[in-house]
Amino acid sequence: MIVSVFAMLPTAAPIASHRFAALLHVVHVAAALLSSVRHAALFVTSVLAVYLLQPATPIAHLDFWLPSASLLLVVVVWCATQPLRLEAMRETLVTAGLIAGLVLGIGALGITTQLCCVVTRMPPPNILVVAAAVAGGVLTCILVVIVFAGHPARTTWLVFALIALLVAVKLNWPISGADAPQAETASPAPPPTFATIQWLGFSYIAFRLIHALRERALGKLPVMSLREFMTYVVFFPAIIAGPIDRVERFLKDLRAPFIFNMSDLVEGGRRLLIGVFKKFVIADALAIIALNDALAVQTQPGLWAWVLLYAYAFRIFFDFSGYTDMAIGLGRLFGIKLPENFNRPYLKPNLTQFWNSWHMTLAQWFRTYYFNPLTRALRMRNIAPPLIIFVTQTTTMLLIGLWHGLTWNFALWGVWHALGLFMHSRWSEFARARFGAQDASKLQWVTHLGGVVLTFHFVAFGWVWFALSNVETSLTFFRRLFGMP
Amino acid sequence: MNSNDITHTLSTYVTTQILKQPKRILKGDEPLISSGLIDSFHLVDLGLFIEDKFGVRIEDSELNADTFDTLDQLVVLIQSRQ
Amino acid sequence: MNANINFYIRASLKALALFIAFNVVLVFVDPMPVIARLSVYNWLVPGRERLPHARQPSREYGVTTSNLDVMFNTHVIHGRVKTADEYRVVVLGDSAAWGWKLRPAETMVGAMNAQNLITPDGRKVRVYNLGYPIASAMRDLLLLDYAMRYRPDMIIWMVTFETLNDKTRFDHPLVRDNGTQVRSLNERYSLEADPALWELGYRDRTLFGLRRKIMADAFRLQLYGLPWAATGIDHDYFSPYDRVSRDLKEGDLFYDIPPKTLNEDEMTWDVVAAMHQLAGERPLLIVNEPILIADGKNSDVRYNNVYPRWIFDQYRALMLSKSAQEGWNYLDLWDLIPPDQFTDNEFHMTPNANRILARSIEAWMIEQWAKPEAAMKSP
Repeated sequence: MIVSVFAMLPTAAPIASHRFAALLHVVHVAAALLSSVRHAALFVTSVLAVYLLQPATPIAHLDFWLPSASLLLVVVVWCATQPLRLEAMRETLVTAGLIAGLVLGIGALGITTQLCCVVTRMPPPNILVVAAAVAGGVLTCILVVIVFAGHPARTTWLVFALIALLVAVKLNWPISGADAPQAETASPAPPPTFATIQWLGFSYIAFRLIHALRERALGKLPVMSLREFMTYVVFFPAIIAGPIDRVERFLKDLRAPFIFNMSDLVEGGRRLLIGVFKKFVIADALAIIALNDALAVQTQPGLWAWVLLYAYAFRIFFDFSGYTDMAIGLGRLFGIKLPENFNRPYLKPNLTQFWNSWHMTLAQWFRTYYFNPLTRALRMRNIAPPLIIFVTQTTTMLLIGLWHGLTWNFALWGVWHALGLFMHSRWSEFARARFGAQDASKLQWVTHLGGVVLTFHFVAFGWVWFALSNVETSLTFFRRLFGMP
Repeated sequence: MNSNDITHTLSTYVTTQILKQPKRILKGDEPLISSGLIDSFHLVDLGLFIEDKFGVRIEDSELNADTFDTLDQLVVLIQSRQ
Repeated sequence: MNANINFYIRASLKALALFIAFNVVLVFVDPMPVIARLSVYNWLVPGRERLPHARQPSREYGVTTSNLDVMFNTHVIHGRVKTADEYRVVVLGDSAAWGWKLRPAETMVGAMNAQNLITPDGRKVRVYNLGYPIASAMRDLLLLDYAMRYRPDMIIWMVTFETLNDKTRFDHPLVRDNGTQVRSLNERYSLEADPALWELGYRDRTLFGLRRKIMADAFRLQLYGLPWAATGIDHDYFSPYDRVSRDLKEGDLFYDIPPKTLNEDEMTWDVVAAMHQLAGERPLLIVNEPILIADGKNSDVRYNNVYPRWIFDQYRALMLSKSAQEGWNYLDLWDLIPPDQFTDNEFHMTPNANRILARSIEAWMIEQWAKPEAAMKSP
């Protein structure tokens, strides 16, 4: 848009050069102003969204402390990874003050009865406790700066600490003293465990933080302000279900002058609407007929079981990719081009390509920080390639499975895909050697179609592990699929 | 090394060592990663080969179709870092 | 790029215009009879054995809706063309007839169908469950009026005092939400009308009002057809529940009414008469359904926590005299079932009790067929 304005100017009217320069200056100042207003808005909205989107928890005040912990972790990682820049101290203090002010402000809402649940689901804790916690957070950050300044290798400690935290919150530890959820039926609900507490966005937040820590250790992390880093990690369109952007790419968009741009608006709005339709119309309708624990055991063997499975396969795709569309569309409205997360995964002719097009940013994260370094390291030793492939692929997929939750079923889902990927890699090796290049084969579309159908069904069977909560139910449902009671 | 030499070296490596189809001719604009022709394991191998042969490091985060998907794009990437 | 933007602006304007036009049309035309025909039941998935009713849709694979077209289109009676060799019986009644806490096969209707009765002229008896939770005479009249299009040969109407108590005449969601049909019934049978009888206002007829909910429910009911087909579950009969207590509360109040004489005009006799007019020549049997006759604390004053003895005894006496006077077919089965056969309340019974009840009604049917004056008409 701005380019077209400049392109038009000389022909539109003969304007004196100093006037042109003045106009250019005005446009630049306006753009800079708009950009900083946008950044401030994104920052505040994102920080508030961490609280606003956090679901209620079975333990009192946890719906306040978990978002606060997310913010603290972001600040701590920023302190541990950024060089001390005295010239940027003022901006850092302003941002830190703003974060502390927001936390205290949300905590202070608890004083009034009318406003107490505007931001958090339940009344926040006592304001004095919140103030003490904020002071503790500030001390922690100072400590982190002292310990980590000039020691990029020490960031590895924080990586392990974050992984330990991820494991801890996903473990099925029973919670003592939690209020049992009111059972709607006489069959009692299982007592709440750590895994049933939803820490909004933590899986994504932790992975963005680990990404920053690893890049710092490799010396590749760009210098950025606390406000920029906070906006990146808790960017509100992407906090619920990703995508996991790379900080360098995100900063490029955030720092580019923001110009009100019609095509961004139209494209972002269109993407947002597509996402809303996919999630709230298609996926939510499919949810009624999609496989779940109850239906898995209630269904009669045979045809209907397949309908439930297909419904689940499409439901999870439309749900997840709908969320992603909404995130990308919202981001686009603010001039941020978040990375794509899906690329027609169910139309891929093999499992390798499926994993290049399903939850792409998560798969890429695991390749970057786990699979590639491990493969590199093993390649340096004299180990047979098939063994390397088997070990790296199986452990990668196992970890991707466990990222969704520490259960046997998620582990089995990961292993299921690992075996599929391994079989596919062995098969392509074998087929290439045997059949050679047959690019122009007339039967190519048949094998392509067969591959798509086969891959889709392999993935769909994988969802039986993913959708159901335990092995026994999954095995029961597999029997139902094949007509056994 | 000019771009033709780099292309030839890479193309030979991919067809003989990865695809195991020495007679195959790779086009410069043929997608290698997004098409699934090179899987993630062989992508690391390719990265190691480039590091060894051209002294250019391709980071773990760059081994994907966004950074390069074709021989042509890979050649440009290598040359820009030499 | 400009062409692109224009395209989106024009597309949005067109969509908006269509949306407004659609809503205007909705104010004047009720689309539900047409929409209800787009039913997945009885072809893609089996029809339901009873009318849809679900408190927890995601567990019971159904939706409660008050649109009669939508309700009946899900029912198996809608999908079965009546053949010359079918003798069609419909059962109306409350949740006891519908089969609360029972599988469809365990209800009274299920027990009757399992008998595979054949009429003396060789027709196969097929019984259809048109029961619906909460007792209401007006609601049963509404359902029978609709169900007459399925050409029943016999009507069995399960009632209790609550059904025929004039106080509850308009107290049912189906009655309140079907104002047009109820008004038509009022006019046809000169019934006592409710001046406040509810009709959809302009706003409620558009997508901004009640019609949106009706359409959404109709749509969800179609979707729930798939889990219904996959599991055969249409009701939560699998969760445990508390058995109804055989020890009763203190006092002899019926709700807040102390003992008094039950007057004729406290009963909806006009609705009963209308039921008979609707049934015409087809036999209509009124059954005073079994209730829990408790044997614990305070059972000398009350039969159960709903009925104190004074009111139920007077109601029974009234029913006997009135039906004899009017020549109604009437079976008083109030004490047929022993107290240990009731489940979660004083009307809901076990599968076993429903079988006993079915046998009593079948006995009446057989007796009826044997009567010379009831020479059976061909359908």
